[in-house]
Amino acid sequence: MDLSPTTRQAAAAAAPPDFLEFAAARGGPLYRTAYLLTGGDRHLAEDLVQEALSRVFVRWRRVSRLENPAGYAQKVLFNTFVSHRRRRSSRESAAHELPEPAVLDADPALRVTLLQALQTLSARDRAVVVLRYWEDRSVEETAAILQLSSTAVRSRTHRALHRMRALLGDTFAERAAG
Amino acid sequence: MSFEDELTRALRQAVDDAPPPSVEGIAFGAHQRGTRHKRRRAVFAGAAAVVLLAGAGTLAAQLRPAATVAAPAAQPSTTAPSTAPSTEPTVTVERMLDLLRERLPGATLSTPVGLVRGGDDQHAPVRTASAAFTVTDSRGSSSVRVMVVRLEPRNPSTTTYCPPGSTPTTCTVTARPDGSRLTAYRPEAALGGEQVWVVTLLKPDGTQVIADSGNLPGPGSKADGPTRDAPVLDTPQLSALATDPVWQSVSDAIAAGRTVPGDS
Repeated sequence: MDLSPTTRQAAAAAAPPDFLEFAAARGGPLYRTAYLLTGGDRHLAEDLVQEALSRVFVRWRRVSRLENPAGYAQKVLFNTFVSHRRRRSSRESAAHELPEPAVLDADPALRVTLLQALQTLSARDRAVVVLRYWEDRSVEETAAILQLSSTAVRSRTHRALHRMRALLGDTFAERAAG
Repeated sequence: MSFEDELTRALRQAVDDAPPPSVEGIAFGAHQRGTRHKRRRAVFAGAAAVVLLAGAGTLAAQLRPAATVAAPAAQPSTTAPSTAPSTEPTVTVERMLDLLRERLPGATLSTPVGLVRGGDDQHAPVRTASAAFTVTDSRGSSSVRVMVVRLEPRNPSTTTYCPPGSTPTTCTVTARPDGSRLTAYRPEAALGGEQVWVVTLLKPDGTQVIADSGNLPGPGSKADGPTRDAPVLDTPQLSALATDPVWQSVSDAIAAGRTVPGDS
């Protein structure tokens, strides 16, 4: 990506005046969500946020008049993550800079273990976990964002927690004991 | 602190520890990419017929059978472990679903869910493949899933999959002649009646096979809670499924990088 001063000036001149401001303001929160969605892959997370915001840009004239453009951008982020399989698969190797799954290691680093556990979930299950347990969204809110039924969200939550518990239970127990 | 609370805390901690993003770069990159999207839309709108033809060609190409080795004969079942195929198959989502389907003969299956994750060995990636179905019978719907993970070689006796609080009644560990260990976890039903029974096989070469079955239907169901009094597969059946030799071939393929990442 060309980020030379000339390019930035040209972009600033061409973009709607408040899009860049919006993107800069929302980039951080969206990145943090994307960081979890991508299982801790910083580069893929930035790429995901860029893609989501670029889709917002395409509809910016309409989006900017919404009551909650930030909420819209977040919904686009999740939908981009879930639907954009080809991009995700092609970039999957970047996430593998993390060490081997630490779920069984004697002295696991919690963050690495957690992120790797997230990577074992399907895209939708991971999105459900991030929405429910990081963003503290209700089942109904999660269902609305992911365009799933509440039943599906509950089912996916149950399964994902079961999987995460199997992978993280010992780690949490060790941390509590320590 | 409940597991859910621990999870929330761990997620927050992971995000706090994340490297900071280049927010300005993201914003400008989004603008540049968005501009390209707009241009592409304009081009596509002017050449819809061409796109339709090209799309049809692409779809036809995608629907061609993958250049992979055919699935093994559908003779094994959950109670009669099969012989691993002698060929060297590539692991795909479709193949994982086929392998699990073949091991559930006669069952009414729906809502297949598959996942294959792989990569190069250089960075020791998470390498896993899984498949799941909703199984429906006269007693209701149930989930069945198998997950194969290739870890680094390790001594299975040093690892426990019995969670804290489990008892010999709910979690049993069996040492097998080949050096592997089989853990069967059959917890009591949750307050809402949900039950998930899970069997985990860990081999010295790092092959981990997790087979589980729950009394909840899989994704896509309209059921709002358990539809059976118990999962469709009990722990002996899950044990047979987990120890089926075919998963070793999947594990070996994962280790060799013969995977096509994807999910469904």
